[in-house]
Amino acid sequence: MKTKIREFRKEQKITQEELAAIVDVTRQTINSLEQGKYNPSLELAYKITKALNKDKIEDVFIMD
Amino acid sequence: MTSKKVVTKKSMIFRIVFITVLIVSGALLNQFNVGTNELFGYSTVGNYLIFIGFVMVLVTTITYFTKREKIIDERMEMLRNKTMTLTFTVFIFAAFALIIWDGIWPITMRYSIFISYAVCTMLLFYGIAYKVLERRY
Repeated sequence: MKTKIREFRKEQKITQEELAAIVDVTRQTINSLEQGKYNPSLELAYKITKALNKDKIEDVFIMD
Repeated sequence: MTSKKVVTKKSMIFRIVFITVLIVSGALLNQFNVGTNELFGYSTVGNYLIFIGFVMVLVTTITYFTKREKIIDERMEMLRNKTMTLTFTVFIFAAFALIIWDGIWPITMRYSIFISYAVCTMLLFYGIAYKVLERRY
Protein backbone atom coordinates (compact mmCIF):
# COMPACT_ATOMS: atom_id res chain seq x y z
CA MET A 1 0.00 0.00 0.00
CA LYS A 2 1.29 3.45 -0.90
CA THR A 3 0.80 6.37 1.42
CA LYS A 4 1.00 10.13 1.27
CA ILE A 5 1.83 10.41 4.96
CA ARG A 6 5.27 11.95 4.37
CA GLU A 7 3.88 14.47 1.88
CA PHE A 8 1.04 15.60 4.16
CA ARG A 9 3.30 15.52 7.21
CA LYS A 10 5.72 17.90 5.48
CA GLU A 11 2.76 20.11 4.55
CA GLN A 12 1.66 20.26 8.18
CA LYS A 13 5.31 20.71 9.27
CA ILE A 14 5.22 17.91 11.79
CA THR A 15 7.93 15.38 12.45
CA GLN A 16 7.55 11.61 12.50
CA GLU A 17 7.89 11.71 16.28
CA GLU A 18 5.16 14.29 16.66
CA LEU A 19 2.78 12.35 14.43
CA ALA A 20 3.64 9.16 16.30
CA ALA A 21 2.81 10.84 19.61
CA ILE A 22 -0.55 12.09 18.26
CA VAL A 23 -1.65 8.64 17.05
CA ASP A 24 -0.06 6.68 19.95
CA VAL A 25 2.44 4.60 18.02
CA THR A 26 6.22 4.49 17.82
CA ARG A 27 8.23 6.62 15.40
CA GLN A 28 9.42 3.41 13.73
CA THR A 29 5.82 2.53 12.87
CA ILE A 30 5.31 5.90 11.16
CA ASN A 31 8.56 5.39 9.26
CA SER A 32 7.46 1.90 8.25
CA LEU A 33 4.10 3.23 7.06
CA GLU A 34 5.76 5.98 5.04
CA GLN A 35 7.96 3.44 3.32
CA GLY A 36 4.92 1.30 2.54
CA LYS A 37 6.34 -1.66 4.44
CA TYR A 38 3.47 -1.97 6.87
CA ASN A 39 -0.28 -1.89 6.25
CA PRO A 40 -2.10 -0.22 9.15
CA SER A 41 -5.33 -1.31 10.78
CA LEU A 42 -8.47 0.66 9.92
CA GLU A 43 -8.30 2.34 13.34
CA LEU A 44 -4.72 3.53 12.85
CA ALA A 45 -5.41 4.62 9.27
CA TYR A 46 -8.37 6.65 10.53
CA LYS A 47 -6.32 8.26 13.32
CA ILE A 48 -3.52 9.21 10.91
CA THR A 49 -6.01 10.66 8.44
CA LYS A 50 -7.53 12.79 11.20
CA ALA A 51 -4.10 13.82 12.52
CA LEU A 52 -3.14 15.00 9.04
CA ASN A 53 -6.41 16.96 8.76
CA LYS A 54 -7.70 14.96 5.81
CA ASP A 55 -11.28 13.86 5.26
CA LYS A 56 -10.93 10.46 3.68
CA ILE A 57 -8.63 7.54 4.40
CA GLU A 58 -8.25 7.13 0.61
CA ASP A 59 -6.62 10.57 0.47
CA VAL A 60 -3.73 9.30 2.59
CA PHE A 61 -3.58 5.58 1.81
CA ILE A 62 -3.62 4.36 -1.78
CA MET A 63 -4.06 0.71 -2.73
CA ASP A 64 -1.50 -0.53 -5.28
CA MET B 1 -5.50 -1.44 17.66
CA THR B 2 -2.98 0.88 19.24
CA SER B 3 -2.01 0.59 22.85
CA LYS B 4 0.28 2.00 25.51
CA LYS B 5 1.87 0.03 28.29
CA VAL B 6 3.95 0.84 31.33
CA VAL B 7 5.68 -1.26 33.95
CA THR B 8 2.52 -1.80 35.95
CA LYS B 9 2.01 -2.25 39.66
CA LYS B 10 0.42 -5.63 38.88
CA SER B 11 3.51 -6.96 37.08
CA MET B 12 5.72 -5.65 39.90
CA ILE B 13 3.59 -7.49 42.51
CA PHE B 14 3.82 -10.66 40.39
CA ARG B 15 7.62 -10.36 40.30
CA ILE B 16 7.84 -9.83 44.07
CA VAL B 17 5.65 -12.89 44.71
CA PHE B 18 7.78 -14.96 42.31
CA ILE B 19 11.02 -13.84 44.02
CA THR B 20 9.58 -14.66 47.44
CA VAL B 21 8.52 -18.13 46.24
CA LEU B 22 12.03 -18.75 44.83
CA ILE B 23 13.88 -17.68 47.98
CA VAL B 24 11.47 -19.36 50.41
CA SER B 25 11.41 -22.64 48.45
CA GLY B 26 15.22 -22.51 48.21
CA ALA B 27 15.52 -22.06 51.95
CA LEU B 28 12.98 -24.86 52.61
CA LEU B 29 14.81 -27.26 50.28
CA ASN B 30 18.05 -26.52 52.12
CA GLN B 31 16.36 -26.86 55.51
CA PHE B 32 14.93 -30.31 54.71
CA ASN B 33 18.02 -31.47 52.77
CA VAL B 34 16.12 -31.96 49.53
CA GLY B 35 18.02 -31.66 46.24
CA THR B 36 21.53 -31.99 47.57
CA ASN B 37 22.95 -32.72 44.13
CA GLU B 38 25.21 -30.18 42.44
CA LEU B 39 23.31 -27.92 40.03
CA PHE B 40 24.98 -25.38 37.70
CA GLY B 41 27.97 -25.14 40.01
CA TYR B 42 25.84 -24.70 43.16
CA SER B 43 26.20 -27.27 45.91
CA THR B 44 22.42 -27.68 46.33
CA VAL B 45 19.25 -26.94 44.38
CA GLY B 46 18.17 -24.65 47.26
CA ASN B 47 21.31 -22.52 46.91
CA TYR B 48 20.69 -22.24 43.19
CA LEU B 49 17.07 -21.08 43.75
CA ILE B 50 18.20 -18.53 46.35
CA PHE B 51 20.86 -17.21 43.96
CA ILE B 52 18.30 -16.85 41.13
CA GLY B 53 15.97 -15.11 43.62
CA PHE B 54 18.62 -12.51 44.48
CA VAL B 55 19.49 -11.97 40.82
CA MET B 56 15.79 -11.28 40.22
CA VAL B 57 15.74 -8.85 43.18
CA LEU B 58 18.57 -6.94 41.48
CA VAL B 59 16.88 -6.97 38.05
CA THR B 60 13.50 -5.94 39.51
CA THR B 61 15.07 -3.08 41.50
CA ILE B 62 16.86 -1.76 38.40
CA THR B 63 13.65 -2.09 36.34
CA TYR B 64 11.65 -0.27 39.03
CA PHE B 65 14.00 2.72 39.20
CA THR B 66 14.54 3.02 35.46
CA LYS B 67 10.93 2.44 34.41
CA ARG B 68 9.61 4.62 31.65
CA GLU B 69 6.53 4.68 29.51
CA LYS B 70 6.77 2.01 26.88
CA ILE B 71 4.58 2.12 23.79
CA ILE B 72 3.50 -1.18 22.32
CA ASP B 73 1.64 -0.49 19.12
CA GLU B 74 -0.13 -2.73 16.60
CA ARG B 75 2.98 -3.12 14.40
CA MET B 76 5.00 -4.33 17.37
CA GLU B 77 2.22 -6.74 18.30
CA MET B 78 2.16 -8.03 14.73
CA LEU B 79 5.95 -8.45 14.79
CA ARG B 80 5.74 -10.23 18.14
CA ASN B 81 3.10 -12.64 16.82
CA LYS B 82 5.09 -13.40 13.67
CA THR B 83 8.29 -13.93 15.68
CA MET B 84 6.50 -16.22 18.15
CA THR B 85 5.06 -18.30 15.31
CA LEU B 86 8.46 -18.53 13.63
CA THR B 87 10.22 -19.45 16.89
CA PHE B 88 7.59 -22.08 17.68
CA THR B 89 7.86 -23.62 14.20
CA VAL B 90 11.66 -23.71 14.38
CA PHE B 91 11.41 -25.22 17.89
CA ILE B 92 9.18 -28.06 16.61
CA PHE B 93 11.59 -28.84 13.73
CA ALA B 94 14.62 -28.57 16.01
CA ALA B 95 12.97 -30.90 18.55
CA PHE B 96 12.27 -33.42 15.81
CA ALA B 97 15.85 -33.14 14.53
CA LEU B 98 17.15 -33.70 18.07
CA ILE B 99 15.00 -36.81 18.46
CA ILE B 100 16.61 -38.24 15.29
CA TRP B 101 20.07 -37.07 16.47
CA ASP B 102 19.54 -38.79 19.83
CA GLY B 103 18.65 -41.98 18.00
CA ILE B 104 21.92 -41.91 16.06
CA TRP B 105 24.34 -40.37 18.60
CA PRO B 106 22.72 -40.54 22.08
CA ILE B 107 22.77 -37.21 23.93
CA THR B 108 24.60 -37.78 27.20
CA MET B 109 24.37 -34.21 28.47
CA ARG B 110 22.57 -33.58 31.79
CA TYR B 111 18.93 -32.58 31.33
CA SER B 112 19.38 -29.28 33.25
CA ILE B 113 22.32 -28.24 31.06
CA PHE B 114 20.57 -29.39 27.88
CA ILE B 115 17.35 -27.50 28.60
CA SER B 116 19.34 -24.37 29.56
CA TYR B 117 21.08 -24.44 26.19
CA ALA B 118 17.72 -25.02 24.50
CA VAL B 119 16.06 -22.07 26.28
CA CYS B 120 19.03 -19.74 25.62
CA THR B 121 19.06 -20.73 21.96
CA MET B 122 15.33 -20.08 21.68
CA LEU B 123 15.67 -16.65 23.32
CA LEU B 124 18.57 -15.77 21.05
CA PHE B 125 16.63 -16.97 18.00
CA TYR B 126 13.58 -14.94 19.10
CA GLY B 127 15.68 -11.78 19.47
CA ILE B 128 17.40 -12.18 16.11
CA ALA B 129 14.15 -13.11 14.33
CA TYR B 130 12.40 -10.04 15.82
CA LYS B 131 15.17 -7.73 14.60
CA VAL B 132 15.16 -9.30 11.14
CA LEU B 133 11.36 -9.05 10.82
CA GLU B 134 11.47 -5.47 12.13
CA ARG B 135 13.57 -4.53 9.09
CA ARG B 136 11.04 -6.16 6.75
CA TYR B 137 7.88 -4.59 8.19
